[in-house]
Amino acid sequence: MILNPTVIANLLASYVSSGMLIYAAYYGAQILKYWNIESGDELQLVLERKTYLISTVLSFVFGLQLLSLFLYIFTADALAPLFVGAMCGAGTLNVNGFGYPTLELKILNFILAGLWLVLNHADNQGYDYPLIKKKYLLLVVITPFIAVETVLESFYFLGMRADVITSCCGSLFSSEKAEGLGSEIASLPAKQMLWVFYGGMLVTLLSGLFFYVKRKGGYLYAGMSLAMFGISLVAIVSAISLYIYELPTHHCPFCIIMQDYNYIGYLLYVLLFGAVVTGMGSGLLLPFRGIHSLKQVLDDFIGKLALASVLLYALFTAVVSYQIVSSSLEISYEVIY
Amino acid sequence: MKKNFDLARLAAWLLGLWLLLGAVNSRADQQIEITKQDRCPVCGMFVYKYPKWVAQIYFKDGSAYFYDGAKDMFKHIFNAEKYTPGKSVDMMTEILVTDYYEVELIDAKSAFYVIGSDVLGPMGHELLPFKDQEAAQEFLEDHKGKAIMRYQDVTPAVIESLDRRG
Repeated sequence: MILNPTVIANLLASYVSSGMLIYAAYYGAQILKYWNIESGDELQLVLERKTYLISTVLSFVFGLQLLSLFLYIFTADALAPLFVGAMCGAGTLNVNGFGYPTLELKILNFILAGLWLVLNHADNQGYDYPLIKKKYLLLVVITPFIAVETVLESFYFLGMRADVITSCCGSLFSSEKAEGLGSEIASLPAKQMLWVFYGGMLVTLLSGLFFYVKRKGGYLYAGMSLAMFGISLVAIVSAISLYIYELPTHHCPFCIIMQDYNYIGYLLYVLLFGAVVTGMGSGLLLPFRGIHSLKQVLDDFIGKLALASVLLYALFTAVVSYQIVSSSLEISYEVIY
Repeated sequence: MKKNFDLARLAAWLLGLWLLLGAVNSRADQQIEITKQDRCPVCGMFVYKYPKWVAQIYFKDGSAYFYDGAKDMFKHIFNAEKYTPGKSVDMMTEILVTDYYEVELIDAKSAFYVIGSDVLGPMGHELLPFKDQEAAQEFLEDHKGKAIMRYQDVTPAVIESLDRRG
């Protein structure tokens, strides 16, 4: 283990949220099992009182979960100088086998935590706990993922050894290496990828605006926003990063968060993750529009989420386009390596 | 006011003179300054962070590339078309590496390279450049080096074996 303040912060955040989550999930399971709003039973009264405490605790825990993704990549980036061969977060995460699985789970959990916060906010709008069972069902689903994440993260940080020679992102995300997901994405043709990205984004933004104005096609937009999230991540690796680095061969998705690139990566990722959570959140709430106590407010909330998602995607595209236009790199030749 | 103007002219003249004299000097004495923007074209690392490891290649058109170690410099030489499309090896006018002991730039083609030592560069196992055989031999004995190589002995297979050792 490397005793660095950022490592301690990561582990502490992860243990605190897992601990609270397991406590909350226990009551969540009770609520799923025994909740009956009609009943004046003692247990029901206890649960009703508990739910306020639990949903407040969970708002903080999931808020922390959202932050922890960025703390994690910040840590990977900050520790890079300690490892030979690592120039950025990509090399640090490769120090042992737990780095990347933890990151993947953190991305998944970011989205799940964001969706839970959306559901919780909607539930709090109604006076009769309209979404309480759905909310705690989602909680029970999320808890194991976050627990596994905590375990993997512990293995990753506790198993870190400083004498390992790790791989630089130049080789992890190199387009010539045949194996590895990073290399496979990196070797996608950059120009075509940009067409897919801009084409997909145009359709996504249009479907989002259509949904916002007409309130139709909400599920389509939720699906599109998830697909666009994936396409954007792939496009960052295969094409957008080239323009930011102004190098025809450098595909790393981690170097862009460095100070030397004005932390542009954090901005891109915050916009992207914000867009997918709000976009999917709007779709998640669609089936509950009919609930009586939510009728007045839910439609408005869904609209706001969809609009926020469209705006975040638009801003993301604007920042990406600015990077491409202001870059000195020109992909005029066919990038096939 | 007039005096200020004269001073500015004098300064401009001096600058011009300095540039003229500078241009006569060889490249090894008057290097293009490495800026905070310069990245290794092979791995993308910022070169200013590792001044002790810098290697440089100058091209006919005046462009210069910096590397965070001799290994990446060789990778560029072996695959110039990939890293700098349109610029081939025979357009390289000067290739320089940093002597590990003296920390000064030396000609890459006359340098002695020690491989297999316990000294790691920013990119892991490296070829450590020295300007003469004695320094290279001394380093090899002090740091468990495997072999001393000359520029022309370095092949893509050697570079690959350095990467694999990680």
